[in-house]
Amino acid sequence: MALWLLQLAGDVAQVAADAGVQAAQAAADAGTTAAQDAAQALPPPSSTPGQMVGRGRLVGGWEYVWASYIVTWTGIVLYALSLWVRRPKGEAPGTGGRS
Amino acid sequence: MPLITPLLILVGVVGLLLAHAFVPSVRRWSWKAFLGIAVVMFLVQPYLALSWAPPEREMGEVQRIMYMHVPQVWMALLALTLNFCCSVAFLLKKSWVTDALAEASAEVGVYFGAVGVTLGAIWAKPTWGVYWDWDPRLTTAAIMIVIYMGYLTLRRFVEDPEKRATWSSVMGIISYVDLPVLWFSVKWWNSLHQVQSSPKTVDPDMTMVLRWSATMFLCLLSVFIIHRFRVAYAARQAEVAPPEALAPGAA
Repeated sequence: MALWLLQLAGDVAQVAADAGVQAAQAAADAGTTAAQDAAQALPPPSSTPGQMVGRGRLVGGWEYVWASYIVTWTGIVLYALSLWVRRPKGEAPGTGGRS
Repeated sequence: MPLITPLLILVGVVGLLLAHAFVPSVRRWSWKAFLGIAVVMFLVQPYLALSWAPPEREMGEVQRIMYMHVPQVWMALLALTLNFCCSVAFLLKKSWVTDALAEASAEVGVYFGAVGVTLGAIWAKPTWGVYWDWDPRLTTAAIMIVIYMGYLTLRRFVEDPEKRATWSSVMGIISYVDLPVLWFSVKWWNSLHQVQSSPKTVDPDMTMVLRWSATMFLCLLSVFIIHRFRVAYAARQAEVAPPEALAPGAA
């Protein structure tokens, strides 16, 4: 009886292990297929200089580009203003009193 | 537009910079020339960067941030290299000109560094998913800004002009150690930040716009440093000038 129970437990463990291997294999296959699909969806690299290379994986994002321009322009205006406020009085600009 | 255009403009700008450095009479009008070139290039740059250049294969339109981020970081490195040279020059031969130029280049370098790092954070959000990561490149960039803010603070706290110039020169030389580390950090360590690209691996149109933007910011850097130098040099002259009663010709 004990021998039979042990044999039964071993069979159950073997079935469970086989199921796990099959599930892992299926998941790996699905992942590979998805990656292949994604690669095929990408446009081919440009071979001619100046030719458009596609839209890219990231779509949109113009708000980040505009933000970078706003930060740059704001910085330039503020720093130029700070230089103007601190300018020494009564000298020709750019000479630094040296020429 | 011919791809060589920004290179030709860059050669002209560098020539004007050399003339500014070595021909005193040029200094009266050179900043106006730099400003004029910068204004024209700033008017054209949005068309080139936002429309004319192609989007990047992986990052799409977001990659266009590169045309503002990379040149401004380059300008920061250039300004802080000038600060290093002035610091060495002052220790070799004391001059208020090199001291004022060191002060001017450090402040302008911190300005461009701060804007460049901010733009990098904006670029990181859509591509990395976070605004900030403590990877080697970003960490060394943050250290650079903090160190040079300390340099500027040191200059504020020391009242004696000679001590201030000497101490800040020493600090300027020590601080510069961070810059080569920053530059090579993407090669030395496993950084999230990409390694430097080269024209061989980038679309020629992208290279052209990057060079255009770099030349544009070089003109702006020149204008800023010239005017900041003027402020610093005037302050130095006021500090070291003898009192009116002791001035030659007084009494």
